Parts: sequence; C-alpha cells; structure tokens
Amino acid sequence: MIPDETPALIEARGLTKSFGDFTAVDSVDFAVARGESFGFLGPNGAGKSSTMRMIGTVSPVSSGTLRILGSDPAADGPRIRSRLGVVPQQDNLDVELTVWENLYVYGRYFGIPGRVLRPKIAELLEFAQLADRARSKVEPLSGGMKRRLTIARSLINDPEILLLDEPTTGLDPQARHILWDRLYRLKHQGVTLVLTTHYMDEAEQLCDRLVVMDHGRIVAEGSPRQLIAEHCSREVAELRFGIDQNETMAEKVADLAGRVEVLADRLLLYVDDGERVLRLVHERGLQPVSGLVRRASLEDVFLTLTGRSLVD
Amino acid sequence: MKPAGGGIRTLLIYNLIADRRYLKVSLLTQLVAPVLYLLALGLGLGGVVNSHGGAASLGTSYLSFIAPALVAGTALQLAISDATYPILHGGFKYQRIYFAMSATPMTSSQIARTVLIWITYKATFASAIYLAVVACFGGLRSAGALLCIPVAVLGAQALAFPIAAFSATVKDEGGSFNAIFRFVVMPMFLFSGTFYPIRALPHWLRVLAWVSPLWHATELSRWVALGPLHLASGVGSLSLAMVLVHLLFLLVPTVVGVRLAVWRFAVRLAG
Repeated sequence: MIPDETPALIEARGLTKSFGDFTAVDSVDFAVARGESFGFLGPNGAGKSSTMRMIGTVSPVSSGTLRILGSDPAADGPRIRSRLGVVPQQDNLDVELTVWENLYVYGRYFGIPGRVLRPKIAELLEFAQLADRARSKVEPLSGGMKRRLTIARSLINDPEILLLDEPTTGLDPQARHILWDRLYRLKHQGVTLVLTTHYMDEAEQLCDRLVVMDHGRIVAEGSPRQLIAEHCSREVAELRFGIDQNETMAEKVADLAGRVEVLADRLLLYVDDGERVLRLVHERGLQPVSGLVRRASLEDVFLTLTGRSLVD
Repeated sequence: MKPAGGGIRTLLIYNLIADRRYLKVSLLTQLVAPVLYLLALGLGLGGVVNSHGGAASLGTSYLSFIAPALVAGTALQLAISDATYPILHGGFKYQRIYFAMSATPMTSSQIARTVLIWITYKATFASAIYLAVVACFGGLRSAGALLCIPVAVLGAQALAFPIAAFSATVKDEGGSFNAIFRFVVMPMFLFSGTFYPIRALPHWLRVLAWVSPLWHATELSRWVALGPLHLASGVGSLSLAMVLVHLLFLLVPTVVGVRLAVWRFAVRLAG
C-alpha cells in the first residue's frame, strides 16, 4: 500500500461487483497515487474490466467503498467523469463522422466550448499522429489508428486520470509500440495512468506498480521488479524435450531448480543461474531439442501464483 | 450547482452533425413518399371513390379525407424506425456511441432523453413536409390542418417512445424489430381508419382501433383538419369528451414511454 500521507487519487476498500450469483470483483483493496502508472494484470475474466468500469463511474459498486479524486461515484458521477479520460476495451468511435468530428462532439459533451476545442483538437491530432487524416471518416482507418484516435479523444478534457482497458489488444506489434510510446509521453507529462492488460510485456513496460488479479481477487501487488523478486527466481531455463517427453524429463531435472513447471510444450526451471543449469542438463546426457535462458517475467509470477498462464 | 458537462444541447449537436450528411437524401425521400401516396390514393383511388358517391358519403374529397391520416401515419412509421435500428446498432451494439457518451459527464438519463427529443424533432420535420405536399395537392381545407403536425408528433411519440425503451433491451441482431413492423405497424395502418372510416368495419374489428395510437392520432388529426367544416357526414366531428379520451390514449403511453426509456437506457449503460 502507498504511505498514508500521500493523498490517493483512487482508493478502493472491499470493492465488490456481483451480477446476480456471479461475483466478478471480490472484495479488492487498492490505491493509486497521483502521477503513477498503475496496472491491473490478469487473464480474461479476472475482473479487470469490471473494476475499471466501476472506477469510470459507469458501473455501480455492489459493495465496499470506492473513492475517485476524493468523491463517491454513486453521488458525484458526472463531476468525476469530467476529470477522467477513458479508453475502453472496445472502440466506440462514430464511424459516420470524420476523425475531427469525433473529437469535436466528444469535447462538447464535456461542456468545452468550440473555440477552446479547435486548437486542442489540432494538438491532439499531432500527438496521435493523425493530423493528415483529420477530414477522413473513421471507418477506413486501421485498428492502430482507431486506437490512437480513441486515446486522443480520451485526452480532450485534459484528464487527471486516464483509464485504459486493454489498450493494445488486437493490435499488431508495430501499432503496440507506437501506442506505448504515446503513453510514455503522457506519463512524463504527469498524467496518472490506470490500465488493465493481460500482456506481461505491457505491464512490465508501462506500470510503476500493479496488482495481479485472478477470479476477481488480488493475488499479488507491487512493482514489476518486486513481484518477480518476491515470487520467482531471477532467471528461467526453458527446455523442450519433444512431444510427451516433458513430463518424464521433469523428474530428471527436478533437483537442479527450486521449482519446475511443466507446460504442454516445455519445461520451466526456476533458477538463479540459467546458463549453469543448462550446462548441467547437457552434462547429464539429457538431450533437449532446444534450451534457452531468459529473465523471469510477470508471466512467471502469474504462473507461480495461480498455476495458469496469463494468455489462454 | 451547475451540472457537469455540456448537457442535452451538446448531445443534440452530435445528431445534427451526424445527420447532416444524409440531409439531402432524407429530404428527397420524405418528399417522394407523400407525392406517390397522394397521387395513387388521393387522385387515383380518390377519383374512383369520389365518382361513386364516396365524396358525398364522406362529406369531403377522398384526398382531404386521407391526408390528415397519412400525415399521422408517416410520422409514426418514421419515428418507429428511428426508435429501433439506430438505437440498437449505432447506440448499443455495434458502434456503441451511447457507451462513449456515458464515459463523459453525460448521464444515461440525458442520453435517453436526447434520443427521444431527436425522434420528436424528426417526426415534426417529416410531418411538416408531408403537410406541405398535401397543401400543394389541394388537400387542405382549413387552417386548422396545421395542427395536424403536433397531433402527428404526439401520435408518433406514443408508440415510438415505448419502442425506444424496448430497443435498449435488445441484445441480438434485432429480429424482434421485424416482428414489430410486420405484426404491429402494418396491421395498424390497415385498421386505424387511415383509408376508410372505422364505422365501415364490423364491430369486433372496430374494437382493435382503440389500442392503436394511429387511430387516436388519426381521429384527432381529422378533428383539427376537417372538424371546423362541420361536415354533415360527421367526419372529423368529435365531442370534447372524445377529444380528451384520444389525447389521453396518446399522452399516457408517451409519458410512460419516457420513464421506461430512461430506465432501460440506465440499465443497459451500467452493463
């Protein structure tokens, strides 16, 4: 948890969301400080989006307390939303309007007058690298461009907090990197970012602090580095032995590592010195089809905590 | 304290901008339909009816008899189509623009009411155009006919508002809309006194008219357009009590429709 003296921008205690019998978010606690980049990491169905919708004040809280910018979403929804920026999981741009018009009408919903909007839109189009597409309709734009437009739109009111729900899902690698670059810049401008993702590389790159969610609960919390240090070894040696052999081979290497994880297509050995372990494996005459050494990642943290992988 | 955000006014700006592209096309379609109907039914069928004593029995030309009903019917049909697919496809399911709006200071109530206001605005515009075409055909017999516009709009609201509420609950492609058009709108047009007086029907069919907003709107429409002429045939004449009854049959579903729409939009937007 963050220290008490720092006023939290978002604070949740025992936050719960249920739909009839189903509990999507199960009594979670978290706090987000001003200027930090905070992430909810977890697989699909973990409750991340439900949590985001509650923070965005569009989904009513079932129980527990939630305060955003010091206010209660049930009482002060519109006022809170006027200070938030939202990038939803599914784009909801108006395909009938042009890029420029999408930004314009959205800005008007915030009560921002037209004369203030015009320069702001120009600035945002530059930021989103869409200046040359201002007069083009939204429909023919690529997925990456639409997502950049959605992000630009979410900034029209100079929000204090930007909520991004799975911002790069469905984008090709280049589009993802462009997006991350844009988000870095925002971070450096002091915007507080709150995002959900099931991509460990995204979480590692963008988040100062994150919580790991699974089945509606928070199973771990900390900075990416802390989480890896707490729950994993420093390195991971991956060994592939061929179809159906990984299971049997696991017994033969079990003593070499603190932990061995058997996956469908490979073995993961959690060790401090990956190269050394690979050498030992070869010395024993076991002949893996392939072997590599890599740093432990958040994917490994999730695997350790839940026994499952982030991406299904 | 002033509410946050731009208010319903700014939501309407969206509608104006989005519709602007279709203005020419929609204007054309809204002009063509009345011209075709009035030519075929007013002059064509009307010619036959009038020459066989129809005008005498109605007390007025067939054209001026059906015109007030057609204004009401057209407004109603347009309003219903505005209250179905655009709400489902554009608003909630595919483009999801209402969800985009709800992430801003706009409330679900403002979003719902804007949709209803826009339906009303388009119905008004369509009624006015239709009436103008009727005038060109010589189908207006009194200044009171101008009131056909608000009557048509009220009639449109009475059915379109509850349907708009229903549209907010639809989770599939909108197959139920087809059922509405086929089993509600179509029979309504045939049995609401649009093309012939209700009294021509056997009693058991006449009863159906009472549940049809189009019949109530048509009666009121003929009352404002032909009532002042005090026709001997009784067409267009309504007692004050009946006027109030017809108004009630339109006002109640309209008001209830607003409440239902606000409620269902709120539920759908909260996910």
